[in-house]
Amino acid sequence: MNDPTIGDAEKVVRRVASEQYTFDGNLGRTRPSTQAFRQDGRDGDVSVYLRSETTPDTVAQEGNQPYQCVVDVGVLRQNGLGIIRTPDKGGPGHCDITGRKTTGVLNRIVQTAQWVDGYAPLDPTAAPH
Amino acid sequence: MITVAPRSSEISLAPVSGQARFFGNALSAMCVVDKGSLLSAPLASTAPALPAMDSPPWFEPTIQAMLALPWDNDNWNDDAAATHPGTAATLLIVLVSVLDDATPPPDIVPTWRGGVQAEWHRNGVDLEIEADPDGSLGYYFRSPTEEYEESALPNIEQLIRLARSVAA
Repeated sequence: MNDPTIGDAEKVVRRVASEQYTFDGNLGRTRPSTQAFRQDGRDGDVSVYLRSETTPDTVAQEGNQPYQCVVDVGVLRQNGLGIIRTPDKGGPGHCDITGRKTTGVLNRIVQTAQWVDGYAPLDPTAAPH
Repeated sequence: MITVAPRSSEISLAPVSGQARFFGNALSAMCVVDKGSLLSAPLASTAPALPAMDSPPWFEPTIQAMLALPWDNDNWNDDAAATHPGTAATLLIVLVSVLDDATPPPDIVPTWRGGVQAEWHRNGVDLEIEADPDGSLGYYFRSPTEEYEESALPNIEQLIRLARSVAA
């Protein structure tokens, strides 16, 4: 399932729990773990928000995870995933990432993820533990 | 010294240091991790006859990270499960089996289903090993020339080879 009205250049915001980020020495910075983009197994839809239709403060109010990251919709699609609007689950701007999320797919996605200003781990070069 | 502080009381474990008895500490740590840091059995009584061996540098940081998992919080990620008893111990058994002294400590991450994942991202390599509450183990490995993803662990020799690629 894929909503063609959502362009590849659009960015989606994913909330990240404080326990689910990692230091990537290959990138020289922290990033979300692949587990931060997994819900209910490899085929479970993953909850995100369209960045153009919400604000970080609004997204923060929807869950208890302190961090947020953004990824391009185009990157999701390049890795075989889709995106659909699901406002019934989380209000305006809420979407689900659909498709099979193997660890390889998620690994390629999280390496492109960027932290949202104000919702990033304090030290971008430090391991979480 | 590993010190954990559950709700009602503080539990202190014997030191896991260079002079500690590695296997004894490993088994004791597994017991503690397995119970979600709620087991207070004295360390010295758990494995008194096991051979002495220094613990590798990755061991204590890994135990510390496992003890920090959301053992008793089933709402740590909105709707994710609390870390399931046994998953960290299962993962620790795998790590003890395949890592060596040169392996840096992994980042330890809880999974949505209540499992535990160890992960390294260095030397141009990504390695993730995951233990799930249903007892299953999986791993993901990617280097510039290889990529593997399995819902079951490979043979131990292959995993040892892959783990060496993240070592210093």
